[in-house]
Amino acid sequence: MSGLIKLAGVTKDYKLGKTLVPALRGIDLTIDKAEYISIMGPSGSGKSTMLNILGMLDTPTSGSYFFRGTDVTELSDSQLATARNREVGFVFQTFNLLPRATALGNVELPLIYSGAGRKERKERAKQVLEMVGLADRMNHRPNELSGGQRQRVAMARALVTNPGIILADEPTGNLDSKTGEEIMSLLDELWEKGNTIILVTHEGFIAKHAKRRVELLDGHISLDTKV
Amino acid sequence: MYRFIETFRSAVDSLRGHILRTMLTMLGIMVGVTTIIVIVSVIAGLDGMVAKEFSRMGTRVLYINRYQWGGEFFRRAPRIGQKEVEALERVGIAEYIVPYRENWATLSRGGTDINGMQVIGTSEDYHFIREIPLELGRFFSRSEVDHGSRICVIGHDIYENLFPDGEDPVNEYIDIYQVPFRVIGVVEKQGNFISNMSDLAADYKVFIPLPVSTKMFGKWRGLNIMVSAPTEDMLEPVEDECRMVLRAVRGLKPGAEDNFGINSQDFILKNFRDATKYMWAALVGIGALSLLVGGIGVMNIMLITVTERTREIGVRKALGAKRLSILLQFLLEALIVCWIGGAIGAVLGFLVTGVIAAVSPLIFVFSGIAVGLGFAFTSIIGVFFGLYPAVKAARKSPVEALRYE
Repeated sequence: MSGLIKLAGVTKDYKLGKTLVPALRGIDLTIDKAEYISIMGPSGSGKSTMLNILGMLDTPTSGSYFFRGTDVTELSDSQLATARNREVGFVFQTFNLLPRATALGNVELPLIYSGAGRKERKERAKQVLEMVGLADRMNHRPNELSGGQRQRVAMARALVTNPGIILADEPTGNLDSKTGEEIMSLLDELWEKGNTIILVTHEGFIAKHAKRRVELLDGHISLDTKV
Repeated sequence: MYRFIETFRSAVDSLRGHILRTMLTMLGIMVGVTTIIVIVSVIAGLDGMVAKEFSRMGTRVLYINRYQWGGEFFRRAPRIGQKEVEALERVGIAEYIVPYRENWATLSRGGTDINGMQVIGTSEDYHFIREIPLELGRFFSRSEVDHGSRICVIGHDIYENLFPDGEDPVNEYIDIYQVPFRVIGVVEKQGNFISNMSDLAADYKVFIPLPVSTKMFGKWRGLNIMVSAPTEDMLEPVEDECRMVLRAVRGLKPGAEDNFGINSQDFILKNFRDATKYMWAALVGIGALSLLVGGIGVMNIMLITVTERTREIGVRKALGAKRLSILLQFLLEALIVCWIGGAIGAVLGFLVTGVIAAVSPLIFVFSGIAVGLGFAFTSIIGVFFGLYPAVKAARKSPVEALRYE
């Protein structure tokens, strides 16, 4: 298996006033297709930075990031947008749905940016909403949905472009434990269907769902183990 | 194009989400566009009214005077007399040659005097050239002019002043300069506020046969001559011939300046337009200024919107929106606000203009130019003031935008 994602010597520094704060200090990591990996670490360990870089929202200060063999650090802003659109499905802790759009509208959004036709878009969006169990909630707006339902919409939105990775950032952080478990089993299900899942969390029992655990400490990988 | 429709749709959606704010923002643009349309329409209407007023002088009539209108006044120039009239009568392509002499006199009847009325001594053809519709009676005839009959046609206001009880003035006598004249006709009311000031209407004029006028007032005021062309197109050839004939009769050498003036209503209209164009430009400028203020309002709101929706921008970027998509989205929002505001403003503008036209002598002109200008202006305002917030939105870093609370 050749790596889907390959990070080599990745560092990331932030400017804080005049001083440079290193957030990542040389990360080497390979993630294969269809892996289910959790990234853990206390706050300040570089978890969020790692997530931003993996999700192509940010670029490393140094080192290389290959995604399907393409060096992401070489991409322009517009190419990065396209890469995010095609390859990354984000699931955020706070759902980040557009409040005025319906569930269907929210799920359609990535397809609008990929330039899919109206009919194709609707069909595909309905299909994934059905898959996450929201067939009867498609025309509801986020404020008419429960937290768990909102996160399902967000997951449908992440899936709709058939991305290379699903990046879930504390997906259960805003949910009660029962709903959280439901969301996690949906994530497990997606993995079983062949999706590559990267789960960022600081809670051990959530991380247990993943099959590989990476722990970060002070910008280094302190642990990388199969579960 | 397809992407554009989606962007448009989402722009409209988010505007509908803040309906009150959107409407308040539109208000500024609306007022601006209304102002511009009213100003431009009023200007067009006034200009139309003035042009119509001057056209009373006849659009195919040349005025041969001692001086060129608007030219140098104290130039040495001989008075125009019978010699010039006879010479002009040889201009074959002219239609009418009508000499007239202007004097001012007191008119009286019974115990009523009115001072400083314009007495025009002219020939029977005068009313063929100048628009002088009669309310009562008739204009004088050729033989009456030749015989030097003491008869007159009076303007409407003179009639009202001298015949306050509304009695039939025809065949009654009035005194002009203490000489009795028989009234044979009354001119219809013509005046409005422009013509009253500019002496174009016949309301305060009295017309008498030219030989009588010459006998009473003498020749020292000189003649003016109206020459009409059969059609407007013929005005220029007629002018050329008149000039030739007049130069010949005055014995001017080639290259010498004309010592007479050939004028037309076109000429004063042009002078009038020249004189007023800066005023119009200033008014349009004021209108544009109010639109500018509206535009600043748009920018203000768009900046607030962009800040408020930082997180949405982050989400959209995470989902694959390019800078251009974000830029277009916010630019379109600004433009839509401007366009809708502009459209409402245009409708209001024409309503206001319609009302103004209804209660004033102004001619209502639906000015396509005003609409075009308004649209172009609002679009420019929309792009100009929408661009900065939109660029700001597009440049946001996705990481920071997503972190924004």
